[in-house]
Amino acid sequence: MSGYLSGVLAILGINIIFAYSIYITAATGQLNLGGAGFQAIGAYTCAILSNELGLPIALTLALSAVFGGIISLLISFPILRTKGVYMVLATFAIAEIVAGIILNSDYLGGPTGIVVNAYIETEVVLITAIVIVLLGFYLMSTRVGLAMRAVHDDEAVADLMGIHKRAIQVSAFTLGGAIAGLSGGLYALYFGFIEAQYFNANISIFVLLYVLIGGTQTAWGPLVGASFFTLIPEVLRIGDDWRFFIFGIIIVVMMIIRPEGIVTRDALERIWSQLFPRGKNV
Amino acid sequence: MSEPILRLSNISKSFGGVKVLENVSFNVKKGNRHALIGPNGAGKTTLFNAISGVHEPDCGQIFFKGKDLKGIASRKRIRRGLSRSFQNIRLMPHLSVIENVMLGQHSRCKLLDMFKPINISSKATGKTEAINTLASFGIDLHKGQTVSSLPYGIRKKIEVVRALMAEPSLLLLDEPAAGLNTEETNSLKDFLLEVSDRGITLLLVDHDMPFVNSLCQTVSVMNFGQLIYDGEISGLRKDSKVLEAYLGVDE
Repeated sequence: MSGYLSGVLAILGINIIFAYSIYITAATGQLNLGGAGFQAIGAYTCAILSNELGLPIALTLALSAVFGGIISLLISFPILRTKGVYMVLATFAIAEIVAGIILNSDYLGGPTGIVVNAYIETEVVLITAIVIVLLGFYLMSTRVGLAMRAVHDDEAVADLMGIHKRAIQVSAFTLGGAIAGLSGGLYALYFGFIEAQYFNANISIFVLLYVLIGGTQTAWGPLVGASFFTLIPEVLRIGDDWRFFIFGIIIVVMMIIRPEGIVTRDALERIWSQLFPRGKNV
Repeated sequence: MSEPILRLSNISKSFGGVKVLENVSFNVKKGNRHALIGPNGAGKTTLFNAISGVHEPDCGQIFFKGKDLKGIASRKRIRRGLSRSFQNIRLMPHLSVIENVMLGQHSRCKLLDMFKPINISSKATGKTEAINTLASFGIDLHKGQTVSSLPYGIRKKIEVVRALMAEPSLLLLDEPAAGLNTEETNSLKDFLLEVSDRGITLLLVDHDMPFVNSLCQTVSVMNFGQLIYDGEISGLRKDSKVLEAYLGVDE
């Protein structure tokens, strides 16, 4: 495998994992525009544990996720008191606070960043991405996933059905933070260098777009969205300087023709009924 | 004489300076089909919201199966056997029919069952039960479709089936016949009689008097937040206060 292809696949894997972190929160109706902050928490946790304590890679990755999850859990209670655009702004502010702390901390390398001593191959990223994708599909196929989608569609009715909406929202936000932390850990270990400037607002906006363009109605959404956003710009390299202009137009067109995302439940239903015209099930 | 499954005692509720409910008291007997009627703005839906826990009454008590519901969160009331439908259909638009119906089982689910994939038809996942219930009411043909694509009358029935999946003792139905044509209303009446035959007590709000007359045995009438009649449905036409509320008085 060429270095270029290997790099693209690793970025694809990290982006897919990152997209699922935002998707799981979005599935309960919460938009998280602070993805980069949680990814940064995971990346710096992984870098420090690896550099300072020399922990095994698997353990550093696990602890990146755990630390991301703990921070998410702690801030979920005040954050989830907000709704809609206020929640978007609150999560965005969290990411800015994280970036601010890193930039002002000598221990965390400040603006110059940290070199990470340990290293992982592309295969590790891809295998982890497959596990997270399967986890996403599994979760959304269970009653927990059903409860998450119910809270997304109508909080009041979900509550009257006996669903503990706050528990569902906090759990989803925490799991999302843990998965974002894991994606940050993988980024740190794969690229071997992290700096606060990388985990910026653009990253948070892009990962949210992966999910919104991919579609929030099914677990296919983040997979398709992250692949779309990672692979199309690579294909468009043939357009040289125009590639981001062309990509921007493609995004606008996609939002016009598929306002609910590329993959919707109705679209899957249509595909399913065409594939299995007689034996159609649920 | 059967015991009351629901007892409302002097329920009052105000929003700002507007008194929506004023000392409302009546009982619903177990196994009965009881109607709650009144002109628009009489406070019927507010009373439903108080019973289901959406709003806590300012004063008064609600006893369900003999126990005071004060301080019981709305999500916990369904576990006690109190389930409801809504004035405007509130099915989950992005879920399929079967998923909407299975949502009604949530209050009965054990923690471990929450982590079993629901697309597997089995007793443990509850999918078989949901399909059978839809089939028993003749609406299983639509089980795989998202609800937004279905006719209004079918969606009304699905909402009732969803409420039934909680295995309630008391089913609150807020204007179940609203927006239905004559054929759909008759079909809904048969459907609700079947629900009643299963031993479930019905308390329903509706404006369609022929529908209420043909379905319910007892009725409570509200006007401007106050109860003006409570008794057999046969006595409704003879009550002067009810006639005044609905037809007005000569000046």
